[in-house]
Amino acid sequence: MIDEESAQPVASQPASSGWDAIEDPPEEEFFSALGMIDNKPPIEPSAPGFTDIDSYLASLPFDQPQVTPEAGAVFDQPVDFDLDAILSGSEFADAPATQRSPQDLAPGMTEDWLAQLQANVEEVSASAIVRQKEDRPVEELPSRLQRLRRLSEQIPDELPPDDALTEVLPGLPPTLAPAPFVGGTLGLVQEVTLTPEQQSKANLLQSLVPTDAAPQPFRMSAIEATYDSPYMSDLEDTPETILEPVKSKATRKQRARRPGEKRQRLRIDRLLVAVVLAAAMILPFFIAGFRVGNLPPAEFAAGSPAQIVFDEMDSIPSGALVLVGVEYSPASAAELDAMTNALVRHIFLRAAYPVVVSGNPLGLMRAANLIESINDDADFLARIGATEPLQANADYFIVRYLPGSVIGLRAFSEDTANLLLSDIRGQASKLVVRSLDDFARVVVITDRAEDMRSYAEQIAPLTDAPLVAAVSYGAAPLAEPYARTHGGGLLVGLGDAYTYASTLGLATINSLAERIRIIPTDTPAPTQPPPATQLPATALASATPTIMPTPEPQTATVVSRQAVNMRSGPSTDNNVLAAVPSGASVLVLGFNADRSWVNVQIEDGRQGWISAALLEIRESGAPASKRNQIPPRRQDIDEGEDATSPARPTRPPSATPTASPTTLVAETLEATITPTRTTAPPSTTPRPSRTPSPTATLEPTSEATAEATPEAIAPSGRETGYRDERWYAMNLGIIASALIITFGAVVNIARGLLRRGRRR
Amino acid sequence: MSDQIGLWVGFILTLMVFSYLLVDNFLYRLATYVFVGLAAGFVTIVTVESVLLPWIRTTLFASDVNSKLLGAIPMVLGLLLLLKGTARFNRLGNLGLAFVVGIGTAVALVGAISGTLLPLATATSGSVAANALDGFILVLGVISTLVYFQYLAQRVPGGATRRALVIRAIGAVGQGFIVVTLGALYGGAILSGLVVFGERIAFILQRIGGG
Repeated sequence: MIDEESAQPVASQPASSGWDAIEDPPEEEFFSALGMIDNKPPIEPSAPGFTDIDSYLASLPFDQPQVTPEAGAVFDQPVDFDLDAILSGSEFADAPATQRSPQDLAPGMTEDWLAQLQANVEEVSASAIVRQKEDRPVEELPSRLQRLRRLSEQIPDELPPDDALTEVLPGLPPTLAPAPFVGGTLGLVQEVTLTPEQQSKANLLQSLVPTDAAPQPFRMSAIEATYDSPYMSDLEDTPETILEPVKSKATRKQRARRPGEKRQRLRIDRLLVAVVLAAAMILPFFIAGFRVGNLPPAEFAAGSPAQIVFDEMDSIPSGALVLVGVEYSPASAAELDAMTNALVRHIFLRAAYPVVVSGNPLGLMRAANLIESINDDADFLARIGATEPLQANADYFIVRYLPGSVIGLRAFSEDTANLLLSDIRGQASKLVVRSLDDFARVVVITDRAEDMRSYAEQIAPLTDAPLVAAVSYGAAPLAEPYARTHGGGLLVGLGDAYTYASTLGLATINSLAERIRIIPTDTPAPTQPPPATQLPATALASATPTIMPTPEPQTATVVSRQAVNMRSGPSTDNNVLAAVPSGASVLVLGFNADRSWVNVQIEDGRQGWISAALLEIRESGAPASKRNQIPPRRQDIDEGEDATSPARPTRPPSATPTASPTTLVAETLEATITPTRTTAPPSTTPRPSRTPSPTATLEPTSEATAEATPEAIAPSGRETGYRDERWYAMNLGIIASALIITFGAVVNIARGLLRRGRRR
Repeated sequence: MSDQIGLWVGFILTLMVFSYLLVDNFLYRLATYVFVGLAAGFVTIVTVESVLLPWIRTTLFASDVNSKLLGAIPMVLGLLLLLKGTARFNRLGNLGLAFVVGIGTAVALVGAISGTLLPLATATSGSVAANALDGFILVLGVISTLVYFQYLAQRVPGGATRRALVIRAIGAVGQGFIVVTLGALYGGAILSGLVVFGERIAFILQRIGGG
């Protein structure tokens, strides 16, 4: 066949063509040197200008009847065509092994590229350099290599023909072994027929070697193919698992599946853990007996970081700007929304303006929705004296998305004025801020310690405003050093949010009902455990029948030379709740029966009893309306001012209603406790007096309870109900998690001991 | 009405995400894709409306030339960054990337010094003066942790490395502090997860029972 193929091009050239002018001796010498052609005379076409291929083939001097039937007999039979068997025949075995180098070729036969390749092989290539190296004598080798050499000499030169290769290179023989070849009908257009095994190996090669072929819908990478190989079905390789690949239907189906889309088995252990944890957290919602632990305290401990936060927020001047960074994702909203809600409402209660920024647009969106939801709380609007719903770019500002993380914060700190010109929707915010110093406080609410660090590094050093932080439980450990350094305090997790809202009087109505039930009533006892601030039974017993509410709001001043104790009940036997400094003003809520003890509320909202001998009680003057502290409304800004003029003073006016501590306390407490006494605008829709007044608190009746009960269902804003149940669920979830982790650790230890015992 | 629809959609999506507890499935992936897609779309809108358009209005569309130039430079650099996605001109994007990386590093470095290192060092020294025991624990934790993360060692003739006994002992103490820190972080993460899980349970129960 070689002669035939090599002769055809020569024979097919027309005699009259220009091919005759080309000198062919070099080719003849080349093929002659290779032994591919014999010295037969060149084949001459029978006719110089033939046109019939059949007649031309018939004129060739080949003995076709001797060749064609044999070829047909071979290729027509649908049997395995083993090339190795053919090549191992006697005619190939007897043939002398001819090794020819390019130098053996006739001069001029070597192509340029081959000559260059030869030069590379002999001089430049790494393999050539290695070949040029001579082996070092064994004596000069390190002892370690000498030992290796002695070991290598012990290895037989020829491996046993059977399973020796399998032992040395497991998995390699079945990969390299020639697959049976299935022959088909010989033809020019027929493709090679491959067995399934050959096809799988071809696919493996295609996955290992990238080709420019048309992209296939899915092609596994080499690593994926390796992991997906049946040889990897068991990590503990044994000859059986290697030599007998698993060919089940499941395996074949798994091969065709994309990586990452592998069907995962149902992990019973994981499902069991999830069920146990879910059950532990669902049970407190239904069964009171599973409500373990106590609710968060209604007040922060004195001097705690959380109390520092409350004090910082409670001292915000009226009309001030407060920068609020809402830096958490929706995944942490369940934990931090309550925090944001309490802090923003506290800012509103201080008649200040929250200016919200964030490096997370979703955080801005949540803040906007949350503040808008405050408009649904008519009680709170009445409490702050708002006559209209809070409006963006007037009462609050959702101003800026700060892309670029640290760079965004730095840009904001350096170019605060320009970056606050537009709000989140690209509208003019009308907010005039010169620098960070125009903010009275900087509040960051985040679920990542990195955000806390960024604010501490990029914002806090450039302003004198305290940095107040509220973080999730997960971010607390790393955020605490920054909070301690900058002195603004730290709120952590749901518990502090709960206490903050309780302290501020923002607790859900459930908690307000609890606060009402602190004072004994004729109503049925609550099913939930009493909060930690519940008065002792002795104090309640003595206080219950004799509390006399004050007909008019009164204030009192501590006249003792030193701080006096505020106790949980009208007796020195009760616990001390706080130390009230001399000269401090308190709001009088009521008296005991003989008027020897006064029920008071101090500036931070806490209530207790102080001996009447230590107080100077006076009738408060006409309380200033909360309306005086209402932030200027949007129409106020627009009246007489164009859009480009400053909307309002960027600093709180000096004549804020903080003339005297007494007045401040009275106004604050008035605004906090007796919102029904504020000057209600005519346009305000009359609403039921649901917020408990001091009178209602001290003298609860069945009506008051009845009024509070519907509020227990109505959520405050968009906060979901089950607030207390969520807390108990978290408590029980902690216990369940600890048990699960402990159980898992014990099981692992036991398994390890068992394995060690088996090995021994 | 729209609020109710949104709440019920949230209810369904919550159940779809919770289905992952059983096995990785189509519903879980669909819910995650919805969240990711919505978040990406919202971020894009906010970026355009809150960042790009105001920037263009105040710089490129400004009346004075200086503002236009100041706005054009970062705009060109930003456009060059887009070329990083092309195979032919991706090198041009390196210029913008160099600004981002260089400025980011400088800002982070300056902030770390002024906002972390110096304040924490000051607070540490202050705590040492305020409370001897707290200060001792604080200093011991800082030093031992730093020692634990040093990898200088003496190489013995056999090729192995060996650290001095004192260094190893102090490093072990530092390792203890690190373990405590990681344990606190792990515990905090579990607490956060439980809070979120409890809120979702409350949400589901509220949807079902109206509580």
